[in-house]
Amino acid sequence: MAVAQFKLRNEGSYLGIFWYLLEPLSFFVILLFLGGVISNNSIYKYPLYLFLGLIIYNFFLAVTSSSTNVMSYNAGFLKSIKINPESFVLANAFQFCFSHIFELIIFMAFMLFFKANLIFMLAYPIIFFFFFLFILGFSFALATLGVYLIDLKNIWQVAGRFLFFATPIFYLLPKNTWLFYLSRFNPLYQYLTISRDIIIYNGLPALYGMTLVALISVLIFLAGLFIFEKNKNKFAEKL
Amino acid sequence: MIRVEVENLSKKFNIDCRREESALAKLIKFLSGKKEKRQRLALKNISFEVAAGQVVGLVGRNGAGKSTLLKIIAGIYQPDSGKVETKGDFIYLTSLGLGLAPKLTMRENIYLTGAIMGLEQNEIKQRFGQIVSFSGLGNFVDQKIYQFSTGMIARLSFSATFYCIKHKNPDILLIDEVFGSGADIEFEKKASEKMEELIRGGAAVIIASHDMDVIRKYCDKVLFLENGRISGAGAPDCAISQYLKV
Repeated sequence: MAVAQFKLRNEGSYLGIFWYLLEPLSFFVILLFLGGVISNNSIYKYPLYLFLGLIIYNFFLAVTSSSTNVMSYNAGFLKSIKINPESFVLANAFQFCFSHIFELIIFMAFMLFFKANLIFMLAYPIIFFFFFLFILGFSFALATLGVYLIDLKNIWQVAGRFLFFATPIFYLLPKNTWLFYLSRFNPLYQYLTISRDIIIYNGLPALYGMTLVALISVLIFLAGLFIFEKNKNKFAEKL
Repeated sequence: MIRVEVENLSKKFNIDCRREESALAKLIKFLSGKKEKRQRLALKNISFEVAAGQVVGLVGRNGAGKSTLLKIIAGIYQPDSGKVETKGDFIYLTSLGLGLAPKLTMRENIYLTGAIMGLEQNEIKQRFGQIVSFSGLGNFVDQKIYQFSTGMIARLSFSATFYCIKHKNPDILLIDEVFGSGADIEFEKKASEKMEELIRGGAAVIIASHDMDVIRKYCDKVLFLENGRISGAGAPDCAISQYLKV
């Protein structure tokens, strides 16, 4: 189902994946120009810092945003077959994994270009596993809410814009500011920091911090799934 | 042996329209304290039983509650009150071809239908040849189906749905307005024979249809539904004439 959805999303254009990649790539160019040329920032290996931030955020927003209407998109099936609706949420999330792999390939090409050590990319699958659980938790909750609110996709996209600027994707958080302390509660920030620390800066973040993030991801996944399971029997008649 | 038991089943639907389901509309409704809900009674105190090998027909106008009743028995909708008990594997057949994706090829659509109907990849692979051969569309397997004619889509959707049924010999068979594939006479004949084979397979069968010939041909007993209630029940001719008088 994920393969079919991936094909449907990219159908009609040989550049289908390119269109998915265009947003982070164009943002990358614009922000690189703004951050590097205009404000002349001092972030070490800024292009890698920026691109990794963009692709992680892009993956999060693409999956969650698409989850908001995944149930209404599949209403025909839900109303005519006794089916596990979880499969639609999972297929939706997995289809974006294919595109994310392309983003990672580009990122690795950048790493080679900037002479970064590719070996640290081996840590990404572990980080991604927990990040994916975190996204799935959100997806299950949003898929449920999307059955009851027809404009959830619009609301979520606006929220996504706020999240984009509230998360240090293209800037460095100034320490000891209120935003710095607030961001510690932003799981997306935690994932960005862990990924950057390991992959770009080849450091090992504090183990207790990583364990806490992993634990929160598992809890968010379970909470999302719980909300979904509690409501899934009503989907067919609400849609 | 009783396979389907329905007792005092009732179901209501909220009929608020979709534009009232936006976040802002819900917020305004919540703040204004308006709580009234418009509801429609879809089924009211329905009771009946179907034994193995018995074929029960459901007749009634559009909106009488036939599809809702079948969907509750199939577990797709939840009842508000009453009891539904089913014993054994069941299949629910409704508008065939609902899930075909026009931008995918026939091959991809067969795999998609199979996956949605709960088959494993290797099970679909095993049945793939039968589906293509039954549909008679062997030359178009890798063609995208938006290029298919209506008849070809009807052939594909019937064949894919029929051969992707998980249980080849179900204990309970629920058929919701799917008689007639919409294809040419030759295929229609083949499709009818397949349906007949399934119906005569010994399962407890419930058929909802507007085609009175189908109801007369297959059913042992007919329930006439009117505004969510059983208005008549009995031998096919008797219940049908009651329905036609309304």
